[in-house]
Amino acid sequence: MFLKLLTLLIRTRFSKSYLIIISLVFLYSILALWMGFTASFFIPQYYLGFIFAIFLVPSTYIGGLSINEADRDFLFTSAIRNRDLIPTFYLAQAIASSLIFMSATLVYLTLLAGNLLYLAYGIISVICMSLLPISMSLNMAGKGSIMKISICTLEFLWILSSFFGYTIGPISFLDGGPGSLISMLVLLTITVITTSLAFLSINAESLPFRFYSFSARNKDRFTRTQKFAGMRSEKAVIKLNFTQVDFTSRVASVGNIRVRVNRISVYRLFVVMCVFSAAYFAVSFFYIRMENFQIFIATSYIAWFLIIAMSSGTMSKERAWLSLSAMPIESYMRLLMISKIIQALFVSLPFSIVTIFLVFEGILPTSVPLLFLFVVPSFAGINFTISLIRKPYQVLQEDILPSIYNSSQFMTVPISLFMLFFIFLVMIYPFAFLLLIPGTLLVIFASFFSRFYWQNGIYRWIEMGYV
Amino acid sequence: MEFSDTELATEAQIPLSFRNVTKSYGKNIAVNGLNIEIKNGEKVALLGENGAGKSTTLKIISGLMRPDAGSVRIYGHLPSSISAKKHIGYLPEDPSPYLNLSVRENLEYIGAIRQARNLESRIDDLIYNLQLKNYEKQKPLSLSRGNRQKLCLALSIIHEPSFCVMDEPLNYLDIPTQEIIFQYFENMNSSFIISTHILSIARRLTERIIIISSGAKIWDGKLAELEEMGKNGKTMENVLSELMKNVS
Repeated sequence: MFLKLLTLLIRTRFSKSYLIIISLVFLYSILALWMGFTASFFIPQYYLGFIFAIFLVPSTYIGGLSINEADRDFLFTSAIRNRDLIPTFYLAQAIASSLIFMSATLVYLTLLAGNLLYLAYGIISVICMSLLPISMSLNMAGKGSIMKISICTLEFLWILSSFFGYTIGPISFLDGGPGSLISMLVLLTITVITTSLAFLSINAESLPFRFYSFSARNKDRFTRTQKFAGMRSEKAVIKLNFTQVDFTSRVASVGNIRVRVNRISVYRLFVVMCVFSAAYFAVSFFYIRMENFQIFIATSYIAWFLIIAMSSGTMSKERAWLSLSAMPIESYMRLLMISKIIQALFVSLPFSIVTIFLVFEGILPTSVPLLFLFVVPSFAGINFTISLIRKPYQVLQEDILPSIYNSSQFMTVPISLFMLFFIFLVMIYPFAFLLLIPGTLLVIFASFFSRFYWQNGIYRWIEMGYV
Repeated sequence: MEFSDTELATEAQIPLSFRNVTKSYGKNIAVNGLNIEIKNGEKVALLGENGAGKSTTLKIISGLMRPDAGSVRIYGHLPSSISAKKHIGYLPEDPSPYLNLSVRENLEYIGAIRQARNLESRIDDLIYNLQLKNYEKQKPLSLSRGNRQKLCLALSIIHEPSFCVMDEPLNYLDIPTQEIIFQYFENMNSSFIISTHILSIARRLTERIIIISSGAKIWDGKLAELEEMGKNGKTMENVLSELMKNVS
């Protein structure tokens, strides 16, 4: 019975398609190794550090083992003790977390294969790295923000210390030298202490769970009342969809990749981007020069991040049925796309201005402003179109991933990687941005000539119960 | 709050003792000094306008939420205790089953956790009675809202609870299915507290009605008494509206 229960519990955490993701992650690691990415010491170190950070830091900040609505409705109202439930949860999430973490990182341990002792240190370290986020999240459940932020900062500095050659850093075991032992021992000690504290802190009254539902959270209160009265319907649709940004965030935490749509005001985001671009300018101007590869990488990631963030969230909470009574479907979709493209252009405007200035100063290549003026809005539109097409698979299924991961989600990964590749291409060959024309035509085609797709599509979504 | 031995002994016998309970969300008081007692085998409907505090009351009873003040006991136990949960069958409003598991797997999983007796035959019985036979291998996302609600109903009573706490149990169900549920509930020996907006459901399933408004009790009595009040050309809906209006 226990095994059956555990199997079912694990199945409620992640589905069969999770195995596809693990296989693809593993395949990516092998390909990276095969193509010689690991020839440089820093590449696997960056990769491992990045993965560890996205598992550990959000887990600490969010706190608690993630649960879904079904857990809340039926598991917590069952006569089962927390003391029994939490270890089973822990085990299920540890399996989920370890599988994806190890498939992503074990390949890099082949770098240590020359010395069996260092390899053993590496394996222990990877196991600790996959367990620590879960234990840490248990400890952090219900703790105050100041404590959480302090610990997140310490964790971040700890991970960063590996990159500055400190052997106590969690990634330092990869250097294969005598420091591997120290790195592994520090990691092991922290993991053991954290896990012990986590289990000691469990008692009958405490519920170290974090409920996670797929609901759009309004970050802003939108206290300034918007006026729509007297507006033409087209203008009202553009105004509303331009003003609110549905910002998708995905964080890997305790074996789940959580997806959340945060709804914020475009003006607030604009202010944040102004501050961020000013910081980017200061760093670029005073510390880093064009020959430095890091600014090149950072800029491309900023552009990439903006595209993904500005384009993938909207449709996930879009009530497309509104269009059925308000105006023809295709007009509604077209207006939605236009407002999102304008929004992406508006939000990336501070970067456009800053990068133009840096080009004049000879710090950045001339291609960079093109990224923010053309590539980001165009790709935001293209990605938005794609997100519309895959909507039937997206809605309702996105609350806790990969517990109910849908393989169609994975479709976005190659598209997203292609966008990153294209951004690099534009930075190296400025005129490559002209290649965006076919993509832009796709958006125009989709928005102006796809009347029947939207009509059939929306009715199909309604029939399937998605809108 | 201190209780005498006699009070404690009485509490241990009854499904629900809910005394002077208060619960607030920030400045908003959801439950305001509410008192409810339910005896063995008693079937009670909790009525009230939107935002009256019905769902909060049921969440407190089922142990999902702790009150700010007051005392709640299920057969003499704290609602969050294992002993209390063994007795309770809770159906929330808009419940969600596990989307990854099929109908039967959902029942097996929750049934196993709740240690339901003769689980296989219990599942067969529920699937047959709630007419879910054709869907037992399907996953909840492919079910209609009504069938999903039936599944959740089955999940909430799979362990044959002696005290059912149900928030709008007949949501999304068509009339023939409602009739099936009525008959099923009528044959159950459990005590009930059901929150609903629909008077006909209260009339059919329960014999006692509690009306709450702004988290406080404004009327508590037998259904027959309420019907008596509505005899002078007034419907029961009129009587209820007036009762609620007088308070607000």
